[in-house]
Amino acid sequence: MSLFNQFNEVNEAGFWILTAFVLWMVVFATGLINKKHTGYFFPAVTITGCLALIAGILFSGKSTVNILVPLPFFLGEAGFDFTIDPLSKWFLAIIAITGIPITLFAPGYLHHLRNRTFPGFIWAGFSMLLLSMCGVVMSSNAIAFIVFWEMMALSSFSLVASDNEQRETRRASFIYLGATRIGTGFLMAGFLWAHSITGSWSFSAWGITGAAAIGPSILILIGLATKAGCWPFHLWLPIAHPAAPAPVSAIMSGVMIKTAIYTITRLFITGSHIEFKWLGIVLIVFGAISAFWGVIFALLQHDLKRLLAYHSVENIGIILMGLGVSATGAANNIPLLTQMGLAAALFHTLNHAIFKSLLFLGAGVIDARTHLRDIEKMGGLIHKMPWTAAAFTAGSAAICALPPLNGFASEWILYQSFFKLALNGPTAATRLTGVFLMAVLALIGALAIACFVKAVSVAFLGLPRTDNARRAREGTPQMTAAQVFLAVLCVVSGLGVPVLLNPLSQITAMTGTGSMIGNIWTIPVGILTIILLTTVAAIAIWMKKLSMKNPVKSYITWECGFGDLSPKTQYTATSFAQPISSIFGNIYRYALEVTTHGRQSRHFPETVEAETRYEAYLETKLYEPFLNWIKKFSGILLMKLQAGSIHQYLIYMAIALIILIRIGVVK
Amino acid sequence: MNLSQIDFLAAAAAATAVMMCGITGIQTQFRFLALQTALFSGICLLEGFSSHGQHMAQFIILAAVVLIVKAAGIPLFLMWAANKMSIIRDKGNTASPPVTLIMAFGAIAAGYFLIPQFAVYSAGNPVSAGMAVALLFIGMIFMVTRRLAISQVTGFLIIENGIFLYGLTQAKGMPHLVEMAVVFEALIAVLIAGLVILRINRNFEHIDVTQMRGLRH
Repeated sequence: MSLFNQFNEVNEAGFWILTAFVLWMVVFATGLINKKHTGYFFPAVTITGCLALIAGILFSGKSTVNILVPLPFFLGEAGFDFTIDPLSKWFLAIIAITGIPITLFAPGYLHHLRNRTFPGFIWAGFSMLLLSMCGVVMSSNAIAFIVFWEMMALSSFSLVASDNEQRETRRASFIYLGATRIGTGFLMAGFLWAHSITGSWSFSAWGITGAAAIGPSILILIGLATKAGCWPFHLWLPIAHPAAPAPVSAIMSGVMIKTAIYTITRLFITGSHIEFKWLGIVLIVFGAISAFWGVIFALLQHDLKRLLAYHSVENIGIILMGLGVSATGAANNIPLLTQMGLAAALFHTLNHAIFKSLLFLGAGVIDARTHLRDIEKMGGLIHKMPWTAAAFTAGSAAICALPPLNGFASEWILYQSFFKLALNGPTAATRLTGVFLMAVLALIGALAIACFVKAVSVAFLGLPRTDNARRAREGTPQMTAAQVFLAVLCVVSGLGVPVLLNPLSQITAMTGTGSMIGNIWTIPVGILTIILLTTVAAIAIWMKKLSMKNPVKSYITWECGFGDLSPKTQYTATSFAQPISSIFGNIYRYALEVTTHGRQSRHFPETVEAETRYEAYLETKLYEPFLNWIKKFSGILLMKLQAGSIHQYLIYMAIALIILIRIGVVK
Repeated sequence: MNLSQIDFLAAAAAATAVMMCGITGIQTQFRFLALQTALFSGICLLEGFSSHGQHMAQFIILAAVVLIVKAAGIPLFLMWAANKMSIIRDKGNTASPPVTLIMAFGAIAAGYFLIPQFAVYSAGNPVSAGMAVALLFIGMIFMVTRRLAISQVTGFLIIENGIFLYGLTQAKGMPHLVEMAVVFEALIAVLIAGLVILRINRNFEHIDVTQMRGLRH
């Protein structure tokens, strides 16, 4: 009875959010029981959960909701305390609005995996992932946070491992599991340290400043960087994403890695629960390296999902750069800079969630319909799957920050914050950093465009390179609807910046000086879009006119005397990326080897082989030797400890007993 | 030091455990185990008398259950199992029985010195606490130094007795239901262990745990 009384005190917003939790729990439980169910029960209930979450966010308005889940839900030292303030709501909204299209998309995709996985298990993991992400962004104490963080890690691991008949997937899922273990380990160590300083588990009671903050900050940041996929902890990301089913990649890359961004914002920026002196410079440096690293490795990839995964590394880097500028502003007491950097970072978080899940869903449709992930084997897909092609192109334009789409909107605010830093920075070094960041972001933007021109043109244009690509067809209506929904969101969020600045200004006001970002959006997007559209229309009409004057003539392409041309002679992704890759060749020892075979190989080659190679130094020189050493060492240790002798095990127990008596009893 | 009657019985039980360490004959060991457990039954009765009739009936029932299940049932079952496998002696593994005997005396000494840390003085009978801890150590020593799987069960029962003694003499408030449950749990554990050992004996034709390292491969 008291349980219900306590729930009554939670207002309407809290009720809707808890409803979402309950619905997802229902999906989780029924998914585990009814693992072969393929009907519309799971997606319907999951989407209802997302809608309930949106209702909760809308009902809460501008107020902050506190939910204390009553006993018996208790975690020993702290309860499940939820605080839903504007920052939490922002991330809850991201979860809900990417969760809906991904859920809509999933049944069609799972049909393609029907003989290899149990759909019920995937839905169970998926709903638990949604629930735990919401828990993470709502928790107001460290213990509840860690519990949800772990639920998130484990449910996403089970999703990555769902198609586990393939060796590659098993390897990927274990690498991912290892990465989450390391991340959580660092995070827990950091939280324990913070707890030992402050004596409290509640984030709001933490106020660690000065030299004491350095240790916990570094541990927490390493833990979060591992989850976010920030350089140099990004290795799991390009391995786990291609292995996971497409909806899972979409939710993981679009939303899950952003929980780390949330945590950085919550602990270090909006609440200043931990004041780390060098936070700004650390975030800027690692963000810039991540962004650059991600995009140059993305250029080399032919696996569409791996390419997108490297772009997640890039975009996380961009977001971290924004947060770094914000932290620099806070450290130097420039509130406008703090708020602009924060707004840019959070806005880009939303936008990246939208266009990255769109792109992953596009890759998912291609995978489901052609069983291809290698773009070198695609080609001409635009004729067979026009909706997917259009949506994927829109997503690509958004990720390349082309106006008027949403990627442009957030990067524009980010550029503005860099300008602000370059103009108003307190020291010459910070001003120079602002200039440097502008240069980095411009370089990254250019490389991203190159990368997506490659991906879109090789995958969708030209002629099909393989039979699989020739047999492609459009995805189910639901899959198309999900993609179109996200593509429309890309446009809406790009054009509706003034509206979106309202919730963002509520968040930036949490930094303590009242919101100042009300009028940072200086571009009249609507008018510009109309001008752009009329210009495009004018060019189109003009070209039509030209073509009427000079009608198209068809010729046979000269094939240099080699006989019929096959679709394989089209421009490939490798050859497209080669000029740019060779510029940065020293970073990954890029090499192109061409060998020709045949008797008269100079003039009449029978076969020509071209192969590019690259080496990721971080993997081969740092992680691999380290992991090998660990494996060897733990192997020796295991041989000694697990010798298989019962007496030895009994001695361990006796030693444990004596130690316990020594610790607990003998004072 | 004035030993109460309960303390005296507890010390006697610890002494039987020490003797068990020096014995190689399996059947004799089980007889001593039965004696040790019968002493606990006596402690139960004494506790009942000292509670001045408050929980008298419950203590008497507990004493009877301990006597029937633990002091008679379990040793008889183990004797039957040992007979069936025709086991006569366990000569020990790393330490020979005389060495084990000395170690067991050491355990008694350790228990004695740990009395201040473990005893609940308000409950009376502080020596029993030390003897309980000593039984714990002796059980461990017994398990580590014996070679046959059935001796591991004996060692486990000594440890179990130590915990039972501690609960009985130090924590006055332990519900009798819990005590009963523990007794029957021990019975079940021993039955399962005994049957597993019989099965091991049938498959491997021995129950020497030092030989079981080979199972790892």
